[in-house]
Amino acid sequence: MKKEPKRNLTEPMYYILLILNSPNHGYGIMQKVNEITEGRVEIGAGTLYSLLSKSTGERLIKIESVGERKKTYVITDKGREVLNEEHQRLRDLVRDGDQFLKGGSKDETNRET
Amino acid sequence: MKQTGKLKRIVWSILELDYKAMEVYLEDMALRGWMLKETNLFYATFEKITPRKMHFTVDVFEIPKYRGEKDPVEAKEYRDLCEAAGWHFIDGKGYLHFFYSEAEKRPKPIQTDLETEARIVSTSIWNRRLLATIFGIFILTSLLWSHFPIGPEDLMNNSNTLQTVILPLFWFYLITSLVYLSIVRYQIQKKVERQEIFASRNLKKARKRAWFLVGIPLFLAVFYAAGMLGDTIGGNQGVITALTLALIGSVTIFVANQRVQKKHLVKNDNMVFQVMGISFLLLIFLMPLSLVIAEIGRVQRPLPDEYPLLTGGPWGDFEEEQEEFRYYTRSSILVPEHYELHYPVDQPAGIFRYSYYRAISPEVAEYLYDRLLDEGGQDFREDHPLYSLWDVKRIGFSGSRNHVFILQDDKILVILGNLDFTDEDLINEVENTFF
Repeated sequence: MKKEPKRNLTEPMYYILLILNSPNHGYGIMQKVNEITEGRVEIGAGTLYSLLSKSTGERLIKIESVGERKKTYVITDKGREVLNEEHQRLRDLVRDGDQFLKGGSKDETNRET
Repeated sequence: MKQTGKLKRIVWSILELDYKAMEVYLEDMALRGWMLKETNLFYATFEKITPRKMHFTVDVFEIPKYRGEKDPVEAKEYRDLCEAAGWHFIDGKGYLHFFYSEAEKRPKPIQTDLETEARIVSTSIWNRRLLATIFGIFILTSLLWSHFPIGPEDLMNNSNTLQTVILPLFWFYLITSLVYLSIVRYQIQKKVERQEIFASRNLKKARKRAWFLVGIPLFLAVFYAAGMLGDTIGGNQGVITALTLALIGSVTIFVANQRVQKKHLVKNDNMVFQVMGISFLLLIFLMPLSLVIAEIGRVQRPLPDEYPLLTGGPWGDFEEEQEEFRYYTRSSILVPEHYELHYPVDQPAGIFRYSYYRAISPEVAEYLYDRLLDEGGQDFREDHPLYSLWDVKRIGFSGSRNHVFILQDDKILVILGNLDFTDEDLINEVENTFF
């Protein structure tokens, strides 16, 4: 089977997956993103809805329950795997950045982590 | 919000493609004291308010596929999310959802990611319009293919005559639209790649685009409708039948719509009815293009006095039997006079019928004459005695020579009968009556 090409997560997607480690609904996700990033990352209602719908289609998240006015989502195993990979990629980026910008060696950075 | 209850309806002059320009329009209306109350695909209803500055946002949101719910949970949740962000929902029009907020508040935009927004807009609006245009080109190409060369029947009524001009124009318009839409679509893609705002808020540009994409086909449709109206007034049964069927189709859609609204059925059921209705309309609209007009476009009615009528001559005097004659008349811009006369079958001279045509010019008459011959006739050879006996431009025959075609100036006569066309009396009678 042909393996899907790996692609980086966008910032909003990263936070959505992160938050959905525990089940949550749309408005909850919006609030949580705002809270975690202290308002740095903003996800509009339309954008959030589209991302949730797209991620459900890609099986990164799944619907846990459907209420009268809202649906609760949770991350899937595939989603967790993608999130972990992205997390590792970001760590690598920071480590490599530190090596040049802060003058630290690769070994030191590895030891820190 | 102070509302007086005074309402006004305005037909949308901006297309869905320019949904961001709609925001500017709504803001301008609010400044003039008119607040959007509700909308559908064709018009918006505004309510009188105290004039003030307000913010509007028009967002594209595709309601998930039919699952048998009137208002899917996704739509409710989406609206709730927007409300929570500070946007008050007004109404929805297709994929477009209208929200407002008071001027002093600055809610977070509904779309915060250009790429995601572009994807939604492309799938919901642009791709559909492009597909509809391609489908239109496909349908029109097949119509053009069957319409040309223009047959005699096409010249006999205004609707089909107008199609000769309208079909190529409309085809050309659709091709131009396709090229234009593809270019704009490509430009949007490039803007998204550069992380630039792609949805223009330019109202003037949006109105121009609407005129181009809707105004032109609307003008052509009005032009065509005028032709149909002319045929209807002229008593063309084919067109009247088509219009009656169209009316039945429209009433069906209206009743279905009412039923859906009354019984609170799902919106998608409504769509099914509409698609059925539109298909029905399309079908009956296509009927007059060929079969109906060709078969029953003739009217049996008294012949106008000014029309030349063959009532005597070598085959006897028919004056007394005129009541038994059957006339079928038709007229169009290009062939203002045409009738077919059916004599009673048991006439001693054996004439069964003749057709008379008067075109607007000798050129049109000759074109029509050639098309009539195309249906199985040919001109007599130049050395044929009929050429010297008849003082006409062209003379032809078909079948076992009992079908004779005569062209002189702007007139054509087609006679069917077992007659001696070399008979001097017959020639004189025909020439004196018609030419």
